[in-house]
Amino acid sequence: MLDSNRTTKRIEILMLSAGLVLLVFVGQLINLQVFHYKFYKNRAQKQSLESVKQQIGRGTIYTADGREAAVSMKSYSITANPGRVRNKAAVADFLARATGGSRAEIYGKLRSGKDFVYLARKVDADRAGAVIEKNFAGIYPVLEEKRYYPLKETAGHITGFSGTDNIGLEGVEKAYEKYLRGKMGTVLVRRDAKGRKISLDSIAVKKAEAGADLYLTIDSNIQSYCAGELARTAEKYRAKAGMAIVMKPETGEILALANYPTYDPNEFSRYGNEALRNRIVTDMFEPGSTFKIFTMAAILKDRPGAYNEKVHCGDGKQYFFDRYVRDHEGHGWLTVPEVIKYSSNIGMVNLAMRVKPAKLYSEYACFGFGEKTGIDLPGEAQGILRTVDKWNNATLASIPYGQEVAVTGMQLARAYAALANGGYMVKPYIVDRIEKDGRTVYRHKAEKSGRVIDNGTREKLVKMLETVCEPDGTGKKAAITGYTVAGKTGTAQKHSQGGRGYAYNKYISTFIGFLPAEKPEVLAMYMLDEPDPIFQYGGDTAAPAFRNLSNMMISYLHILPDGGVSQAAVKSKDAPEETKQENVVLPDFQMKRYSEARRFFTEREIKHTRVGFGRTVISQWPEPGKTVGPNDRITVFLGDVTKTNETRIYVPDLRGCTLRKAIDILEVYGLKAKCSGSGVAISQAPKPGVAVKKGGVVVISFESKDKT
Amino acid sequence: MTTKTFDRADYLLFLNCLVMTLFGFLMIYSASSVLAYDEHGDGAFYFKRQVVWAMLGTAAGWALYKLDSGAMKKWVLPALVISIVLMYAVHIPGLGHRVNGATRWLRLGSLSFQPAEMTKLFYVIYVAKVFADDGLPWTKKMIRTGSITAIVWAGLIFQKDLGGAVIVALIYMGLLIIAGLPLWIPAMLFVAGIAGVAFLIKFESYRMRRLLAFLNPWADPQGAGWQIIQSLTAVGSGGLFGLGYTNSRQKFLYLPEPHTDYIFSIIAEEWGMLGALFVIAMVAVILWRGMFIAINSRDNFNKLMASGLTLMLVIQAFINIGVSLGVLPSKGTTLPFISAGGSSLLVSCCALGLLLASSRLAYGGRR
Repeated sequence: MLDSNRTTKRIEILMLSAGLVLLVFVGQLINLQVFHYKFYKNRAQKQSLESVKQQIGRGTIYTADGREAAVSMKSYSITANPGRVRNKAAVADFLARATGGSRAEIYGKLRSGKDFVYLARKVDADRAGAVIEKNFAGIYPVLEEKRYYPLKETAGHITGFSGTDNIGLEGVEKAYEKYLRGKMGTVLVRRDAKGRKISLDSIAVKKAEAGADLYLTIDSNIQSYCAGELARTAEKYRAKAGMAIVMKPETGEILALANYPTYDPNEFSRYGNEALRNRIVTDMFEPGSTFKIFTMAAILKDRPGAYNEKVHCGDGKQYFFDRYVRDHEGHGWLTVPEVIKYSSNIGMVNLAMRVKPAKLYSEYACFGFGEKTGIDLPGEAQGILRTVDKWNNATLASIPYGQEVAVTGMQLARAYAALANGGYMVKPYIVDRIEKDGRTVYRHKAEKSGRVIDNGTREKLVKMLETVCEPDGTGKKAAITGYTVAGKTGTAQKHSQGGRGYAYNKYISTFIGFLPAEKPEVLAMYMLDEPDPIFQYGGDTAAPAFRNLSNMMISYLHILPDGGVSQAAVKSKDAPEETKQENVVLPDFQMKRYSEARRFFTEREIKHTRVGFGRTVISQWPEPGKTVGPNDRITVFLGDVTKTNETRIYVPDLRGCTLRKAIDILEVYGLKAKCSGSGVAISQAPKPGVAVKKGGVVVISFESKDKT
Repeated sequence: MTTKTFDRADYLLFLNCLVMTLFGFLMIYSASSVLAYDEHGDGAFYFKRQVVWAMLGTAAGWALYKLDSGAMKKWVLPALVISIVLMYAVHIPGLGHRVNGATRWLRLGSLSFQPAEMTKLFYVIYVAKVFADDGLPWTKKMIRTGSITAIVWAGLIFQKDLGGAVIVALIYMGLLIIAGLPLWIPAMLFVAGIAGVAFLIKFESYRMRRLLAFLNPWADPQGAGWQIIQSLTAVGSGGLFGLGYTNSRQKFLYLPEPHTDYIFSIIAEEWGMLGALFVIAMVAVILWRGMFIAINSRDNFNKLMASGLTLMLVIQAFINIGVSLGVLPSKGTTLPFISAGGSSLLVSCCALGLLLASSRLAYGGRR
């Protein structure tokens, strides 16, 4: 029998010594994991330097009409770990031939002592395929992507561009980097201890993930026309630069945005800052006369009665405090609306003098001057609106007509949008939604602030802006037959370079306006920087560009006149002189025979358009009871009524219609549209004239015409 | 003496080993997936094997738990002899299975098995039985145990399993101490053992290289020092809280045998010091509960067998952890219950079954 006590004691001694060993282990753990943590961490990371980052599938950017504005195309980068490359000369030979690179350069890189080098970048799949097939030790072809911008210079300032590392550097590419860029993947490339290649050559440790797709508010057709018109105008008037924007005043969504000079994002490195700058958000300028309407807002809010007053504008030159304020001609006595119509600086200052500066300031601030609009594009400037305590007499003689204040084009457009949409400040935006794998991950939420102006005052201001486009207003060249246009010209002198005061013959010429004035669909602005002094006036240079663009949009967006008859339209020289009929009230033709309606129109020599087939009027536009003039467009929609008093619909002929027009027409009939392509409708199914039921689907294919 | 009427095993020890095995499953999957995919085209290859062996081990452990200790004394010698024969049989062409330059495996269908592992188990039981036999004089006990130790030793050396030989020597010494022999006997054996190991190291050049690499791994970081440096890198880069489960960098074929010999390094890398201390604590629990059972055993056989089996498990764990931490020269030893390896897990389960059986006798009221 063993001595139990002795055994227990000996077991305890063994346990004690084992405990000491455990202490040694703990000590070594602390030594390694605390005191040498950094050393081993770096070592472990350096060993995995052979892991190669991989990024694929940056999101596509689409325009509102479904065209691709930025797409990714696959390409390869040939990378190497020079230390592992055998037979460097032969490998360099092969790679130089395969990639079209310089042999000396490749060989030089292979002989460098680095762990990782790029031998060639943006190699297309065909060429890279040969390298992949060879499977040289130490040479790693890595899938990357190349960005392509199909709209080229037309939309350069919108898309912006991404650099070689596929990081957005400008435009929405930069602003939405977080969404567009996919998730970085990692590929590990492994060799064993003796540098032998092992079968497990590369392991995707982290799978690269594709980025989300962006849908812009930009319509490619309007954008293309808008940008083209800007370039044509700027070149015609030899302007140094220019900018243009089209916005929906109701929501702030931007349909087009262009700068001149522009650039092709596919080759962005060839351009300098002059072309790359997105002037409409980054550049500040003194707005000049386009600013007057906001002074007028303050005046009318202060004294609503001022609308009916008159003001003396003298002989075109009046001394205020320390300076002369000039008009380009002597206006004498003007009614207050005429101060805007003829854009009198003197009248403006005289009126503004009766308003407390603090009220002027708060009015300007209300309309968002001096603060960023929040547009989702990078590099926005906030403009300069000095607080009222920094104003002096000179300010009071300048700011009412837009000097001593600096704004961006975007701010101006937003402030005018408030006049157009009933008095709300909207946040302009260019990205409507973002989708990832068919799911919407972001959708723009309309941001509207409280009312900045009451509707009575607003309507008076819009009236004034309408008079600007009358035949004797400064903006007469912006008038459009059949439509009321509200807008304002601006011809602002630029500060002289470096010195005090204003340059003698350098101007910024602007026209900004919206239509139809009563219920505005679109707002547009054209601005030219330093046009040839002969054509300095905004009314001569920018207004025609505005008119041309508006005409295009009327037909493209199917904008209908607002029913009210614009005097400008009637009196415009474009209007047919012989139609002298009185305006008539439209009767209700709905569910009556078409022949009846036709008789009505022919008797009064009113033109009308019919849509669809059949003998009965299903619907009409404008609605019954509206007053129409001879120049208004009247549309009747036809169908048939069966004996059981059910409506029978025949598919209308949609060929030649724009997308929006086609959808509008089908909506009247209660039909659904399924569209593909963009541009103008070229074919449809069912064919025109086929009887269908309400709620049926019409498939329409569109094709874009390259020429506008 | 109060008579206890309950009859229970050491639940804490059982639970501890269960947690080790399950944690082992997790870590084997993480550590071996890269290697397994590379070798077998299936990332879960070793994981699945381990689960199968764990089931076999549970069955075997259960059987031994239920086995009467009297019966065991009867068949332990034949079992030991058979396992020694099998240990030598691996050298017969066609039966043996060579891995990493060492022939230690016997094929059993699709599973291969190391007879040496089983030999260790039976060896411990046999030595315990001999020392517990009151009818034998000390000289006879020493001759019997000494000769069987020599035979096992020779077999292990013949298999180039120096690690196994060291483990057997340490177990023998431990049992000599616990059996109450004068301390100069184990002390002398210790000196002799060191001399023997030194001789064997000199005899085999690769052992010499390993020893030198252990003393200064940075002398040849791409060659002999590779394993040690990679293991230290794994442990060190884990820091306090680790890189997170499955995030090991070193398992990407930097660390050889990440699922067996170096699984502790991967644990320390992925779970940091927290995970490493967790494992060390579980080993300490085996030591504590195992020796507690031995101290409380009422007959010599169970006392010696329990302490011997505890020594077997703990010494293996110590060597495995010590190698991972770079405080011992590298030897292919598994971490019981955690490392991948069928024979190791099966034998560990058997040892656990026997320990639990002893605990039931120790804590129970009736014999």
